[in-house]
Amino acid sequence: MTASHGIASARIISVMSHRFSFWVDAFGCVLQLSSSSEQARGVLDRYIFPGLPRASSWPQKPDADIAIEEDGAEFHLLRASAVVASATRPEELVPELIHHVDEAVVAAMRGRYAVHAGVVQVGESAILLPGMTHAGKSSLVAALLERGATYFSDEYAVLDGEGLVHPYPRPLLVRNGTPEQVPKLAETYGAYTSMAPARVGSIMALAFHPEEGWRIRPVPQSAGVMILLQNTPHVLAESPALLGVLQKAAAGARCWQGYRGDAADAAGEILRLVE
Amino acid sequence: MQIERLNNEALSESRLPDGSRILVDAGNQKVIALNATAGAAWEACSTPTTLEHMTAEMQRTVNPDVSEDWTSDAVRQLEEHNLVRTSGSEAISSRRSFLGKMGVAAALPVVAALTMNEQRAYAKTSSSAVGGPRNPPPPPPPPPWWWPF
Repeated sequence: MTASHGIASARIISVMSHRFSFWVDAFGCVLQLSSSSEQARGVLDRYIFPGLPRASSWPQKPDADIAIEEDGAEFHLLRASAVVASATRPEELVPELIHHVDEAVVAAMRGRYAVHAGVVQVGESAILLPGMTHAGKSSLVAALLERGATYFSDEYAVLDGEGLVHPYPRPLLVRNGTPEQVPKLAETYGAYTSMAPARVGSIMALAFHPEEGWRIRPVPQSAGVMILLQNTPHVLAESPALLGVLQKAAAGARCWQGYRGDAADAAGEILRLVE
Repeated sequence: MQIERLNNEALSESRLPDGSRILVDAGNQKVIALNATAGAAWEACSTPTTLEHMTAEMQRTVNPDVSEDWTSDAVRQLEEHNLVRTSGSEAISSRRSFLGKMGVAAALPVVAALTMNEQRAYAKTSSSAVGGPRNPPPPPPPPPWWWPF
């Protein structure tokens, strides 16, 4: 059953005492995750940045308060105590849960900048695959993981002030050709998840185009900067340091743009280029 | 033809290791990317100059085969982005008029820009995933082709 999104008709429900709570610090964003249901708590623990440490308490108010509550035959996803989605099983709430966590983390980032991109590491350096929602980032990342790449993210390249990319180890949300997203942990693909930053070795802007197949060409690093600028949720006018960070990231990278077909074929071509 | 830079005081410039450049035009609120050839043309007009002198400079810094048509194309693109102004009676070659003659596209000058408003719009699109309708999926955005394919 599909989770229903409840933002438009959000209602405040009376939250029972949270018997299960934990805190996660993700890039300086403190998340409080809680549930009165042990089943839902297991889902939160499994899918919210599984590689990051959990704390059982936190000395300050969280940046985001997210909960899954059981209410009769339904489970509700709550953000700041307002219902944002409902489903019959807590697992069905995971894609929406992850999107809310993403939004909270990106909004709270200080000194780091996110770019919408799949990221994997091959050898010593990272490959950035910038693209908006529905660009097929997750499928391509999954195909690369199946071929031995190390997982960073299927959604965000998190860049620090030196232009290094940090892992954003959320579960992959893959569509497998359907509109619905399914959460998958990197280990499902036999892949490791990195816990350390890496320099950016490649920036590849690839548009899915089955008829074109694999057709790419190198572009200058300045074009790589523009591609990153086009795919960041940060507004340059409000974050003037952003451009310098993107330039540092692109300065050590080979940059490409072009078309790709099937994710498995594209993954093979990408690895041939960078290895 | 005389070539002179515009808005020098409102521009900040960064050079990347491959010779390409990023210019930020605070006056016109845009970010401009130059490939290495366009960057060399930009460098060659750091002081008021002529097409002939620019071409000679680019022959020295880029490739001895650089022609005036080539330089002229770079100047045309810089002028389109309000980075330079030209004066004099000679017409600037259009790209189309000399592409056929050169037969080589690899190092053609390219200048591309993104306004701050466009960047803001992309940022808003990029952060609108939460709570939005995800069924059916929207059409894919146009490919980010900053460079001629």
